[in-house]
Amino acid sequence: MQQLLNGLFIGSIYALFAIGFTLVFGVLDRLNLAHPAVFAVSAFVGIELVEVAGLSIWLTLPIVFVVGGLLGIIIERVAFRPLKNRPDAHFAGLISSIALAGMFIALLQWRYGPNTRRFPADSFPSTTFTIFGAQVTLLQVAILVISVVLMVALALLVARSRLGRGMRAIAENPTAARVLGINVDRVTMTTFAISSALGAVAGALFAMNVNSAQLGMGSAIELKGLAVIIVGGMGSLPGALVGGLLLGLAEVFAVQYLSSSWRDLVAFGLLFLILLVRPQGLFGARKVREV
Amino acid sequence: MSEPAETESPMPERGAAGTESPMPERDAAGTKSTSHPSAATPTDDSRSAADGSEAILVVRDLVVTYGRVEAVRGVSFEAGAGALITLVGANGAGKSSIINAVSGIVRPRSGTILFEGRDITRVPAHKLVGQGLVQVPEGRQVLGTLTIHENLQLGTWHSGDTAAIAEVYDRFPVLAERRDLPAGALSGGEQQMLAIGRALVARPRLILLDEPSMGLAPKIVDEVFRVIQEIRASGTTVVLIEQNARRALQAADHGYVLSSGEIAHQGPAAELLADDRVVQAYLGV
Repeated sequence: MQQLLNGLFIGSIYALFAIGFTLVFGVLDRLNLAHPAVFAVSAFVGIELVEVAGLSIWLTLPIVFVVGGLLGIIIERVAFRPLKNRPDAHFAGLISSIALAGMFIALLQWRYGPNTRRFPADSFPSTTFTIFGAQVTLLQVAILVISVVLMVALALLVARSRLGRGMRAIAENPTAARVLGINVDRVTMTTFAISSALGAVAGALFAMNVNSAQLGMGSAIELKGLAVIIVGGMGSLPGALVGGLLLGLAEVFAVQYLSSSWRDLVAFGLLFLILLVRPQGLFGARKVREV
Repeated sequence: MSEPAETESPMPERGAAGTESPMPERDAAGTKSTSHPSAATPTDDSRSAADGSEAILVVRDLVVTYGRVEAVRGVSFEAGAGALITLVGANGAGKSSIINAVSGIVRPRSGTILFEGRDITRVPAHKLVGQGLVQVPEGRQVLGTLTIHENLQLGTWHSGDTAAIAEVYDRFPVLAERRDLPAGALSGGEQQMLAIGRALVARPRLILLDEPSMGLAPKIVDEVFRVIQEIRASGTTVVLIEQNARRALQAADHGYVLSSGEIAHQGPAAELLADDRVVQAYLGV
């Protein structure tokens, strides 16, 4: 039970990270590889806000959300928009976003140096609960609740709102969207902002969960995020959610029953197995772009 | 033909779908290209459209290029308020490029486009819809994964006008019955009605229809043309692009016959239909 819960906590962070990844991919058909850098930057920003500004960890989350949104806008304007009319816009954007990610990380290193950073000692509430005999902290519960609430909110936004309709219209047919009077550039920018805001919250939550932030934390989760969206079905929001939770569970159980060195082997091996059985991914049946 | 360029252009007239059209770089606004002496047959003097009313749309010396290919080579035409005009011509004659330039999907290389007296030559599509100029794109381009109702809601992106959606449901009851189905589930004819309805909810004063009869059964084509006449009767100006030239000229007040990106003939639609040269060259026998 304890392991199940631990898997869900870490998995919900993976899911939140991956859902931002897959949102941009699903709507815009672009892979934004600066997303992991946003994850790392926001972890450092979160620690800074607690350490220097003396904020409570809960207050840092809305701020990190906004910072992430701004980073998303920068990513779109700098790494994607200038290249959008190139015939190779997919690869060009992929590579320019890697470059931008490198710059973000370099800025972090310049500001904080190469060492691991932690939250101040008394940052976390000491409340714990016992659920079915398992010990969980208030922080862990909050991580799960915040992640799920954000993902549900995103799903509702996409399914119900005017902006969501615009996103789906662009996902299916950007030219038709323009003909209908949708400001495609603006919706694109907003999509990046939302995606990065979610990735930023995921980064801050992750840093809280392990009480540390490292320069390499983005690259560490990057592959996991990509694996999750491939397994979930590229561009599928529920796929990212389920895939993230599955990955979290697989990791935790691998560590528990085998050893920590087996973690990635088991987790990624499981993902490969799923792809062998269901090459389109768990929720990949919905072909958004082909009509 | 006083053309410098030779192009028998194998037109990249990709209509709307897919391809982000390689946009011609914007050159200084209003550059009238000198290398393109205004169309083969310049229209009679401005402001008064064919039927004598005020022109709602005036296009002057329009040039559209894709890379080095000239799709439209100095075309001028106009539409009087409330009129139904048609641009006809073979596939690749430049019809869709003209429509896409007018509706802001493609940036023209040169030329001027006036809508209700304002210069809209470089105004992007998403602004024009809010100003009352709407295109119904070639191949319908309904969003198949979205519901019919969502498609119509997207048509009101700028206005949020729910009453307009109700009116479209009144006009097309078949859409109302299936409003929560994905638009991809509709037949071709129904999708065309949805595409037209989706344009009408924006309450356009000028509607551009690009090949609305394409790929439809004759009976459905009759219906499409009936709807077009209704739109026109309601006071909306219609610019109709058609390969089905005879049918389009029968419906229109004024016609322009395009050939290789230029206007080859123009005049009152009835006269074009009676003109042997036009009939033989463009309308088949």
